[in-house]
Amino acid sequence: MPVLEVLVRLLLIAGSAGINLDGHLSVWLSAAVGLAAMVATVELAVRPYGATLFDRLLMMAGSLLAALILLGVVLNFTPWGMTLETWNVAWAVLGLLVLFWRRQSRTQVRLPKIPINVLSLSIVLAAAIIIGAGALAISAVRKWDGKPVLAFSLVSSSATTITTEIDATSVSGRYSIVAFPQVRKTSRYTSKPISVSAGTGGQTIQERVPVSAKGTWVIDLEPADGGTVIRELIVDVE
Amino acid sequence: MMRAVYPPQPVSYSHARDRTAVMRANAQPLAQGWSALAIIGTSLGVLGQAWYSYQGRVSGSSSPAEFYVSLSLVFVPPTLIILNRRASKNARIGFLLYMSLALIATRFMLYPTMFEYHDEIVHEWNVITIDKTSHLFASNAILPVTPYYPGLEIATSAVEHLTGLPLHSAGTVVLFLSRIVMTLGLLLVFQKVSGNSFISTLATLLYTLNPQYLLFNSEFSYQTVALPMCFFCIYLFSVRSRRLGIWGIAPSVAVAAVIAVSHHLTSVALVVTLWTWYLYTRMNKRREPDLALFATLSTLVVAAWTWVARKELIPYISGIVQQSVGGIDGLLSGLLGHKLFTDAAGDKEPDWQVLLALASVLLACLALAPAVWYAYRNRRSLSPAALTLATVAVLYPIVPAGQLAAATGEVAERASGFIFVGLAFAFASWWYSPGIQRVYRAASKQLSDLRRRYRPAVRFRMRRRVWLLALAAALGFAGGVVDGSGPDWGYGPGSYLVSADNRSVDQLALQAAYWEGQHLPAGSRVYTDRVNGLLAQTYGGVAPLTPQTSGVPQGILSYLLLAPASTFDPEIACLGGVQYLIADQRLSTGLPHVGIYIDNGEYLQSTRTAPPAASDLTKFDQVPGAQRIFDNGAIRIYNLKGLACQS
Repeated sequence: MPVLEVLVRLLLIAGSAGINLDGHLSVWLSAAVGLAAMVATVELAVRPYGATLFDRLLMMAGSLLAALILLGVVLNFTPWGMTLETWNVAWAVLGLLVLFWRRQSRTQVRLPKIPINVLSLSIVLAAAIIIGAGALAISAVRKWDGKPVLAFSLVSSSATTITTEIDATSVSGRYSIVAFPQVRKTSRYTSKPISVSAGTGGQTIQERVPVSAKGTWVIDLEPADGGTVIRELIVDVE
Repeated sequence: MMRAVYPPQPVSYSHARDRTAVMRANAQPLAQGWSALAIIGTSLGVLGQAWYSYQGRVSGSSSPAEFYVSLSLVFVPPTLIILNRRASKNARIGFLLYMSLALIATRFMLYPTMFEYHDEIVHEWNVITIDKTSHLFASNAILPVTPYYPGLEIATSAVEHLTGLPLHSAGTVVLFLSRIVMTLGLLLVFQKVSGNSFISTLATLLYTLNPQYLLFNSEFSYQTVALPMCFFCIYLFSVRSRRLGIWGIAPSVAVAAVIAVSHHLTSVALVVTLWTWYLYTRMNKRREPDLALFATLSTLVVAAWTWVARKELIPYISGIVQQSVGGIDGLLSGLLGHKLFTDAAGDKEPDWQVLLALASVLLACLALAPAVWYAYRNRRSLSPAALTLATVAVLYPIVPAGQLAAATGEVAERASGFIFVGLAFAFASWWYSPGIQRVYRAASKQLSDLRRRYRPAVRFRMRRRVWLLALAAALGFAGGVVDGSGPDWGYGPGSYLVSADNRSVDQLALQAAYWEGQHLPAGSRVYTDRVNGLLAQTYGGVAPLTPQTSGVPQGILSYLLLAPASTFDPEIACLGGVQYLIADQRLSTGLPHVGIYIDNGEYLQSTRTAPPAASDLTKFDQVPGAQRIFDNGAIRIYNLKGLACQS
């Protein structure tokens, strides 16, 4: 195997492991390099087998899945298990072993002459259509994720304070928190108006509610200018 | 590049005598324009599925007709190329692969950012626990056997760690790899058995008519990896280097180990297939070197892993067997039959879908009869491998018959993924047999007058029987989708439906689950309905209670959500050790689409005619010691740790 090819392969193996272990680089880069390293290793390993392109493609895909699963089972029975470090070290070791095993092999890179004809243009067009379809599907999810939701929940409680949380998405308005003991409604607390202005990204607001007695308290989230209770909590204060 | 080869590769049949037709087919390669149209047509079908998904999310509903039209656009154009004898062998295989990947891409178009089907969310939890604990065999309350068959999850976790991709993307990579292995593995195994590229491509195409192909075999679920690896295992055995002797079977045995680790029933199916193949070699006196050793080693590997998983596997399999036997028994007594093509909430499928489903079953039966008869008549000349596949084909009647009882429906559907391997091959072998070609030549003579009278304007020439086959395949595919994908509300996203798996996973349910993950202690014992329980485990990190984990039968535990308030409610919660109760008030708005709100054995399961009242779901508002700690308008979460439980 030429020295240049060995160096490129070593760079790919080390680069992939390094990028993954670093963890700070873009996922597009780590995914591209990682997938390239995995494909390069299995391609080299199965290269002598497979009479046709499709045989080789099957061998590559099947061997990759099998190698990952068997490697995972082996890692499970080590003290360290399947962590980011052990996976990357194990795959790097496997890559080096394959490189040594196939050291007599030589890769000939031939860039195919791609004719510009109806077929090649249709492939490009189809790829563009499928990418567009993916973008359409993801945009639908973004719209769906941005539908209005409003939750009111308990964060913590103590003898003097109950901390509540408002989680909202695509909701805006002014609300008040009204709290009173369930049994005797005499001690009533009403918060100052809370302005909620949540876009599709959501908004979280925590509010503290003072409580003056033990027992069960009812905590309502209502519109600031009065109206029906929107959400309600029932909390025991001890 | 998929271009017609000129002069084309000579087509060889192992048994054909119709050489003139072969030579005619080889004379003129298929024009590139038709291939281009097929490529673009399929991509437009994928776009149609994305549009279907968009409509479902934005407007709340989408048209099933649109779903089937776009799916047909994915399937039909490549089918016409695959069945055309003027297409080169590489073109046919290329289009098979393209179509199969396009079909799995349609799943991604429906749910591009997260797994939303029931089994997918179950397996997602297994990946999360592997990532958290770095080891296997953590518990899964919803499906306890799955952590013991972690092949899919290991591969996904590996891709996550080796590429930095998030879980869903890594899982999608694994699914695409599995689809490549399935398509090419099946094709090349068929090629080895038949020695004929037309038979192998037709058989692989017909396999896509399997009801499980579109949905279940594309799901993030353990069988999705195991089944393709089964084909890969047999392929590796068939191409082994005989010079290496018994070491030649080492890769095949390694892949058998992968299957054993990935799915229980697939590994058993592999072992049974290998021994059946061996038996045929003995009966036909056609020895296959090392097959007995391969079958023995595979059996040992599967047995060893089954021993490892026995604690969860035995109750799981016993439960399925008991249910199936009960279902058959009930059906024979006329008791437990269910309404076909109608879900548990009473939604009936449209008549045209019913007709499609029935047509696909009829077509399969029509294909089965001559194919099996052909195999039987030629049993002495067929190879043991071909006879094994024909034997598998004979089992097809189990698939439609199993649909008659609700308890056996799912088992029958799962079996179709294995049985269609045999059915597809047996039919393809019969289709290209000399006998059937003689029948069609006779029919062609009768139709030649019509052809002279009505000269086709279009120059895309295909033999009439191929058009017939393409039409039958399209009908069979669409009908298989109806059969295997369930009611049309489950095809993709849309507005909320009560207890409807993917249609019940919406923003409100997810909001509650994410909140549980942030605010409830990991592993907290919660009781809730089927879908919220799935989400609570996977995204909330809490432990949904089942009869196995709580020690209380489902019929009693389900009183907490489905029965009117009673003085026994705190006692039931205490008995089950319920720390949190998640009550989705929307369960009171309709009957469950999958037949249950929570699980089998729940309160009023077999006699319910109306949903529970809203007050049944919110009764813990009135119970001393219970605190309502979360409210998003639909879902309320109660902290029951303050109940006065008697020790």
